[in-house]
Amino acid sequence: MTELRNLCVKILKEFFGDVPSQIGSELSWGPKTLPLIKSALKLPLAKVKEGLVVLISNGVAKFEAIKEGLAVQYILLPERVLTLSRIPRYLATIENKLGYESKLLIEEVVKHGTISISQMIIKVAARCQAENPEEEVKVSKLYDDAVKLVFKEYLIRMPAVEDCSGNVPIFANTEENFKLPELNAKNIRAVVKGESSAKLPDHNVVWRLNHRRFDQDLRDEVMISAITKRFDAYAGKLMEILLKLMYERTSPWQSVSNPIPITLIKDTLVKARVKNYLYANIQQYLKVMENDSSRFLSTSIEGPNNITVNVKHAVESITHTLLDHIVAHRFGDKPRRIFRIIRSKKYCEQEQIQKIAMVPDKEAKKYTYKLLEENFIQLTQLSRPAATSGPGINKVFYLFHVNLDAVVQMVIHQCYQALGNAMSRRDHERSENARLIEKKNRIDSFAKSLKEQGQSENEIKEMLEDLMTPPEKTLLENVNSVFEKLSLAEEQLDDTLFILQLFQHFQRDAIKNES
Amino acid sequence: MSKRKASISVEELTNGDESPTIIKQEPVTPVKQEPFAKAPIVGLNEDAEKVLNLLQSHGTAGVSDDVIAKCYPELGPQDRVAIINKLVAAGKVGIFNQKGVLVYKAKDPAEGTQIKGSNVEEKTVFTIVKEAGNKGIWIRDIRLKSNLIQTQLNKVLKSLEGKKMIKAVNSVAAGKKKLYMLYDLEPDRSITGGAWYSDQDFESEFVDILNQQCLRFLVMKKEQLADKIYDYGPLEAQTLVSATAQEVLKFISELGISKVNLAEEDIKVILETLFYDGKIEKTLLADGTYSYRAVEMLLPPPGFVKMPCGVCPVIRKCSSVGLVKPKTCEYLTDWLKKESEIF
Ligand code: SF4
Repeated sequence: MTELRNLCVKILKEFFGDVPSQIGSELSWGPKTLPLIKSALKLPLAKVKEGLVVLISNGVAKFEAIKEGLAVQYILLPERVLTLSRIPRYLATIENKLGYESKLLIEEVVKHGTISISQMIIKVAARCQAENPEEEVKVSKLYDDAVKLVFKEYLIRMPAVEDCSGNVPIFANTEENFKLPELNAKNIRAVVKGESSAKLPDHNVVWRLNHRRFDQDLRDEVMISAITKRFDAYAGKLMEILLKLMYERTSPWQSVSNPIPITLIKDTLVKARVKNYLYANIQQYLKVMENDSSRFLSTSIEGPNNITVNVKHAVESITHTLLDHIVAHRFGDKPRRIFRIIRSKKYCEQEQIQKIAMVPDKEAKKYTYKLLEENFIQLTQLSRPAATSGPGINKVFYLFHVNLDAVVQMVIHQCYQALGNAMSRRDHERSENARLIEKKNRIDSFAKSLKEQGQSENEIKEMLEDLMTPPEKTLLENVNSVFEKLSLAEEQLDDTLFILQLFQHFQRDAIKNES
Repeated sequence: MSKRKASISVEELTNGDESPTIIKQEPVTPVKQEPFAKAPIVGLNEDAEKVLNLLQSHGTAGVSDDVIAKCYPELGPQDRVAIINKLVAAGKVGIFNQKGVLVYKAKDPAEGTQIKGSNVEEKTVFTIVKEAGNKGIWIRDIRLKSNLIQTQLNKVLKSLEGKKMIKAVNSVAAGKKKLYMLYDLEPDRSITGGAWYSDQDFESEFVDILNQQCLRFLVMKKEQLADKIYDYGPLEAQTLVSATAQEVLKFISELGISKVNLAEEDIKVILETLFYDGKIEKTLLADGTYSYRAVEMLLPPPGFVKMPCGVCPVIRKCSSVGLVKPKTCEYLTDWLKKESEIF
């Protein structure tokens, strides 16, 4: 778990600064009480408290009562810490689906961790005003967007505090996660315009991001793009519709959707006024997707006029492809062939592998043992009891197989490590070039103040031209490209992680359902 | 078997030009050697021929007197003795003692002439080797069957080899071990390994080329339809871009990259490798065979392997302290230096 610990600390530092990351580092060893944290970090109590508030309000740590309510311990939630680095992607999807204003609102929630709806709107309005002083801010639009975010369950309501007389506050036990409080658009507008500063009625109903909802969007994206890649854009569109229809009748994190009548798919297309190739060929598309080895869809038991979406199979197929790519990139095409053979045969002898893979003896052995050494495949020893194979002969079979859960777990850890590596490299590059970066920042703020004084762009440019020497400029360019590359790598690593975590989610669910 | 070395480069083939046949290879059609020729035998009367045929049809298993009596009740014991004697004298039949019962076995007509001038040991060894047919026999098994000591057996084998009566063949299945068989026999496919082996070497280059070419064919089929794909329904289109093993075989044969007569089975083996490469899918047809088509993978290469750590050989040794660390890592440095966008 070292990789995960290191990574969490790095992420916390990046998002919240030193103190919270130090607290996070302490808590990553296990739950701790406030005095223990304080003494370990040798920080003033106020600072520690402040840091804990940051962690808790951002949902990356929680607290619970121990010793029958006499003390409180704090617990870090590493998985939640990881989702912090997924936030840029959340923002991008939201902007894509619901527009710029919604993105700003979500950004505000991210900034504060938890916030009331009115505050959210007021802050965004202020920001818009500052960005664009000439235009009047449309508070009603922001209001509608915020309500929509709740309605679509992107925001989740924090439970109200019922009793905070003891050491630990007691929260109201409510199922109403998405119930809107009393809101008044007029009041909000008044506050935005500076006409009123009264406390708004919803000030103690606060909201945070509903990560699961965002993850659902990301999952849909992954599934749709996989189908688009394998078939075509029409099939992708069909997948999108199927998922939408699925959510109308099935809770989104089920392994298999309830049956979806095919007529309903047609109706959806008609309603959207799409009467194209897809509309004409729905049946055939469904058939093709159903027959494919990726197994995203299957005919429902309810009969041929219904179709079910098999999310679990889909995620499995995508994970398989992901691992195949990793094996191919790390070891080569033939090892991938061998890896896939073993996976699809479940248990496989060396000889059998060679035969199917059509790889020379020695090479096949080399690859198989390489995969074994790197833990992508496992070896099981089976000995047949002497009785059945004749006296004295105890035949031993060596069978290779792929323990998918273990492989996924391992790759997840390597992703953690890679992410951590990218982040520490970025840190390193930043401190190496600290002087240069600082200079650049100073010049930028200088330029800004000149601009505010009413200098023209060209004049400013001329004045600042000589402040940096050409070698400095090239260096700066390089540093910037390094940062860009590393951040992009981090983002893409998170894509990989996301798929693997999805896989784990559905495996875990399966275990839960069985027991 | 003549040497078949694929002196053709992969690029040459993927260029797509119908390159000249460069691989030299004689067809490896296993020659079925009839152990006993059914030629009429001169100088024997009809009854003797009947008995000889019976013995020949039993091959090396041998036939006891009882069986002959049962098959030909018209022959009395006297007749049988006379006939057997005649056949033994003519060198057509041998008498053996099997667990206390006398059995007669027909001898290979060619044998008589071939072993001329050989001693008893050579004859015994020759018979043992011959019985093994085109599957061959290990030297150890010859020793056990012939009861000869190793040095003597080696001498005999060498002598027989020298006379070009037997030969030693390396088996594909068991590396360096030699198998002995009659000189003019074509080794069984299980020993030579069929189309994929030449002189016991696995022709992995040849397999790779076939793998690429089969894929090229399937991708081509898909590309040819690309413009018109929306003239058909997706299911029809899928059928149109698919090909059976037979069709792929035809393409490969016309390409002329292999002078070996590849069988449909061989192509199926190659298509199977492509299937496990994840590059093609197969569909079961109504007649129990498969049709194959090229497919896209569900994902592009993931972010993880696009940065050095994802393919790093020392990732397990890498940490923030110690010799291998991200701050100074060469792999990262090189990758970050590269101008081109790698993503
Ligand atoms: S930082 Fe360098 S050494 Fe460490 S895992 Fe990445 S590539 Fe390998």
